[in-house]
Amino acid sequence: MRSTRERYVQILLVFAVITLFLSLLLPYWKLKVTAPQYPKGLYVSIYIDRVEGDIKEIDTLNHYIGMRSLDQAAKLERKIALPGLIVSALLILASLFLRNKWSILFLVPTIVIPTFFAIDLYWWLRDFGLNLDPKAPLSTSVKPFVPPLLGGGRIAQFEASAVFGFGFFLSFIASFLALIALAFRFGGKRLPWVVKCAVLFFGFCFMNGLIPQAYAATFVVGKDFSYQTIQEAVAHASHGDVIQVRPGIYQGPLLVDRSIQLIGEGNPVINGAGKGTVVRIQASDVLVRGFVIQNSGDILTQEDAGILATGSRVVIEDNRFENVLFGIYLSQAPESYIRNNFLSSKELPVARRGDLIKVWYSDHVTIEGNQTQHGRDVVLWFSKGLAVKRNRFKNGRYGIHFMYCHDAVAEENRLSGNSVGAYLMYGTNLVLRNNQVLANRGTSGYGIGFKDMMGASIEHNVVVNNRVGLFFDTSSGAFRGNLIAHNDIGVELLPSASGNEFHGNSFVDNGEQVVINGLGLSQKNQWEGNFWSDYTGYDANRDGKGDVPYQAVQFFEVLSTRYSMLKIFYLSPAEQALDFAASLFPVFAPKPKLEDETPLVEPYLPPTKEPLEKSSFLWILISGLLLAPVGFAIRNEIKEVRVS
Amino acid sequence: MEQLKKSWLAVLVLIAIVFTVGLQLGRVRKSGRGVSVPTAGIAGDAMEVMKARGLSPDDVYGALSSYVPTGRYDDYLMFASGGHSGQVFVIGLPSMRLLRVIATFTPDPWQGYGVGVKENPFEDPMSGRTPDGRPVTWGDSHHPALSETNGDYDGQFLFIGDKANGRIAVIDLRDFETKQIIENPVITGNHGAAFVTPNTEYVIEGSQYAGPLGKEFAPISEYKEKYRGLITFWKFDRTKGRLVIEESFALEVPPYWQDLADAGKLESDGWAFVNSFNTEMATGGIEKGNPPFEAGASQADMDFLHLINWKKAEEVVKAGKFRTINGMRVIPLETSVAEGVLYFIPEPKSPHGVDVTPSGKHFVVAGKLDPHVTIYSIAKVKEAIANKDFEGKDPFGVPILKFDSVKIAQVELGLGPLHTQFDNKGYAYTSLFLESAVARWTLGDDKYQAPEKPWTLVGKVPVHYNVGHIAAAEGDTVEPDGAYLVSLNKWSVDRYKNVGPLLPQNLQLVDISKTGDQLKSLYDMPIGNGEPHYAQIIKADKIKAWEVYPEVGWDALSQTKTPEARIKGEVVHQGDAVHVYMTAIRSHFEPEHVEIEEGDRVIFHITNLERTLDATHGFSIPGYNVAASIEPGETVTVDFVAKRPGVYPFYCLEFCSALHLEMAGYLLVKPKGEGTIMPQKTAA
Repeated sequence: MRSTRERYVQILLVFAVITLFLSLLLPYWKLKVTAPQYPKGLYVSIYIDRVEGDIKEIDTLNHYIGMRSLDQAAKLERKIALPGLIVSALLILASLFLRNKWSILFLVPTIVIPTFFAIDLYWWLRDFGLNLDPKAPLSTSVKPFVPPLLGGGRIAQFEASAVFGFGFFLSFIASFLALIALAFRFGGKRLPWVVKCAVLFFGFCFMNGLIPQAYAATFVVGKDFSYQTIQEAVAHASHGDVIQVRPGIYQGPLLVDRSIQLIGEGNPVINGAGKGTVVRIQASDVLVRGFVIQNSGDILTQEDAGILATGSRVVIEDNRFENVLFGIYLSQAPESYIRNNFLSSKELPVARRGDLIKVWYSDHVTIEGNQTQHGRDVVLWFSKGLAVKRNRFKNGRYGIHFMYCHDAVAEENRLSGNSVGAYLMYGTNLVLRNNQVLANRGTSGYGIGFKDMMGASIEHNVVVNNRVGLFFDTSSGAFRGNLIAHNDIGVELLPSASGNEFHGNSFVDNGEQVVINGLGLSQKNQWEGNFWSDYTGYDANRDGKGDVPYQAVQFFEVLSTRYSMLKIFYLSPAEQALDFAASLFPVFAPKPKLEDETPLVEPYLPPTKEPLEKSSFLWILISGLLLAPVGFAIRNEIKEVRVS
Repeated sequence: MEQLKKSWLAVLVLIAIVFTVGLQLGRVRKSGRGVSVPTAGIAGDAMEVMKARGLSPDDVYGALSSYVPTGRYDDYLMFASGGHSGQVFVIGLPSMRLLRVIATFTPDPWQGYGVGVKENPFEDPMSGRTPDGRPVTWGDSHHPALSETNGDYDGQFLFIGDKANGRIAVIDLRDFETKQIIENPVITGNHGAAFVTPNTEYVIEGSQYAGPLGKEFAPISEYKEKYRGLITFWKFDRTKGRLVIEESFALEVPPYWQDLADAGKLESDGWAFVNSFNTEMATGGIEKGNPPFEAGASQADMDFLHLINWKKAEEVVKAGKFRTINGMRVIPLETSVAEGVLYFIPEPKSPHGVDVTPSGKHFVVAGKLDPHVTIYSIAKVKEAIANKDFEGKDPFGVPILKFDSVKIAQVELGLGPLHTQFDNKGYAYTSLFLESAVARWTLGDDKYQAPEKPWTLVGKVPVHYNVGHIAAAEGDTVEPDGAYLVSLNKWSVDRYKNVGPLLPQNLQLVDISKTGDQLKSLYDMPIGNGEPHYAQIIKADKIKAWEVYPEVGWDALSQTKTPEARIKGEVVHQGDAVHVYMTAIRSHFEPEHVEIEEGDRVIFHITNLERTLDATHGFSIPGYNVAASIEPGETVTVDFVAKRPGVYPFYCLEFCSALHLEMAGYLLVKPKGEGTIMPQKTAA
């Protein structure tokens, strides 16, 4: 009797050793991250001794929120895993020969491996999630969190789901085989109980690892398909379904009232026939991709639009909007994406057109890679944590208008030929980086205007050929490394603008470099280490900095605001003569407007990117993917965040 | 060589500068607005002053253009609201000197207003009462309106709204005193007040924050059903100088948060225009996770300009199609719709001003968030109504005129246009809140024609900072004067020496007398007493104020001679009341001893016998909260029960003569009967 049992024990233990070794080859834990820009998802697989998968991508994403790189995790564990496993296996084999109760100890490592792995993994997830670098780009907007060990979670637009891998199940099996072996050896009649437990545990494993994906149906709409209209297909679809729309012209209006994906193939057209709003999205988690949306109504009081979305996490991408009054209008549609759309308005006077992009009360929206032209405004209202990137907004009224938007980032946009390039009002912590602001010459003609903005950070922008490069009214911000060139007026300040810092900017050949509008002094702004094309000093010690301060004291400005007829002498020798005369007649000499004690002698030119319009669609896609991590930047609050 | 070149340049430039300055001064002289300093004086002494004070030519120009020397008068008077000081400021232009603060909604002891004198509008129960029955003694004065005859200021009356408490005050410009305060009995608060029809038939009062009519309760969840706005047309009786509720009427309007108003004139006579800014019917509740009002009420691209045919409304009321709420005749919304009294016109969102041009042909709307101003034509409006050219109907069934059919132009001015005024050269002026500037642009096909192309921006002048309303000389009448414009700036930030964290407002005088882009800011005036929201500027010679009251014994509240006036002091006992008929003349009161008994009701009727300009006397009773100002010829009444025995010296509050300090007397209140708390008899 005893020996038969011992035989079972031996078989069980040999199997335990085999499964233990097999588990080496398979992942113990798997994480899948999906997001609109990663339709196929990102994967990380953790093996007992290594990490594999899209580690670089994940690391890039993580760095935005200040999470350490994955290779920092569990270094010791990974190093000792392989030898540890081998030792465990050897100990099992040893226990085959050592049959007293000390053999229990020999099996302990194998038994605790899965538990130890899970606890250790959880510990690291916790450690990583709770210790975010406070200096990370998004540190202010992402609070520490604990990524999930099992199950799903969201951070920003990223859907994360974690499961235990087969490796873990194998080690689990090994652990159980060892336990059962012990039970056989010492447990006597307790065998059935142990078997029950084993069954339960296996059930548990299957529950976690092998639940099939939810079934998502696909509907096809087209002339020769079962659905002739999109609306019909929508009516039959349910949560998560995909509707593929074949080429053709479909009549609007279309109402999307459930969470589905609408995918146009070969640019199908949705035609609003000149009435009302063409597509209304009234559900969350809707995707609209690849359509031509045209002919909305033209009634401003109804805000007739191409797409009006009022749900969360709506993705509107790769569409073309033609002859619409408003283009894309998000109203309480947080965490949505507007990407790679082309929009143009109606043939109407600018004031009579609508806003090609209007975002109202929708936090954490990303607007990326879109192109608007001949619209009215791109206007963003009452929304936190917006990301506006790589768009081209041209020939409209306000290139971008931020109203009461906090923590927004605008990067690498090109705003050209608008009445006003960007106007920023009543917001805090706005970042404008690497944008090109060109030829905005309307009646106000501001390249970038600031009204009651606090803590703006304006870096490496190119502001050229506007009526006024930068305009300030009661605002403060940090301006670094911008190129302000060939504007009629480089910087125009109302005397109330104070607390601004200008460092390392280049002021090149602006008609007037700096104007302080209305008598007064801007003593509270800092000008340090900027390049001034009209600097007449020298750099004897060759340290790149002028040896005498740059002073903006131009008499002509004072006179020309007084006698507008003198404006015809602008930039003429007469102007310089007047400026010169000012130094001879102290009674007229205005006080210096500003002084830069360490002017640069060489201009700094911000790095410029390849113009968007020359690039291919593929390039847009690739750069979209490359930029995708930036999508992270739009978050500022985390609800139930779980991602590693 | 270098030296030679420098001095040549210098000479040339000196000539140029002297020439240009001379040219400017010459112009100033020609324009003849109170400046006639010999040019020769400038070159010498004035240059010294400029140098010593570090003044620029701009500063000198501004100073010379606005200075009014002693003994000379300003050309214009500006009536500016005093915000929640509750008063009205009277400011002379171009000097920007404060001439008078008219006590309006807030008591003022200097003017003997609301501090113990019976002749004041707070006595009227219609003037507003707290729940415990006391007068409401402050207001948020917003929009003053001068009375008009044929669409032009006639200089007789001034009306002003109290936004907080929903009241209108009537000020008589013969003595610059407030005669009436009347509370709207139907709705709480106003904003579109006061605006007058071209012959001051009515004073328009538009409510702001919607509420249940009749000031009742309804939960916010029933906003759309139960909350309403109200446009009240207060009938003005010019002879009595009073608003008369019995002849007034009001229109029930949707809960869209109505804003400013204006009355049509000439071609648009008979119409009234009222803005609105919450056609979204947002109900806020940020604490409940809803968008706050600021977001909710500014979501939609367009709001509705309310177009009211008030002459038709008059007929509707006459025909009895109204219901009476708390004594006010109110035309129900559906009646207004059915009778063609009310229409809507789409207007760019969050508008503030709606301003009728001098010809009355056009009206201008500035939506603060749209860089354009939108100009509508009344002819087109009438045509669209006749053709039923509607864009649709609002949820309450009010027809919405088609935007494209009624607007005739949109002019891009700059950021944050807010309020528009006009001049006599064909220009309109619009404040640009976001840009802190005032824009000048041209009207087309109006009463006057500017040299430039119609409907174009021609110039801008920066102002400091956050300009709200602007006022041009007679700038909203059928005959504007041009000349000056005052920018009423909400913030002053760095303009003045800091006097603590509550900063004064900044009123800036702008010279608009020249054409084209020549606009010049001349002078800054701080107002350290309330926030002027809106102002009107009238030619000073239109105001015919009394120097002294017309007859001795004048009751300034009713503007008639009172029978209580005496030219000789006397004391009359009437039951338990003691009437003290007192006179005041430099420098004594008569009687000087007023002896009464504790518990007596004492009624002073004090008459200032003076007929001399500025010979005002004051009167005070310590401890009884009494301060009277008795202007020459005036009779005032002070009425109280002498509850506390004692000796109360009274004296004249105004320094009236060399013996002003001696102008005093005693109120002697004997303790009642024997065994009172003050046993000693009044001295032997």
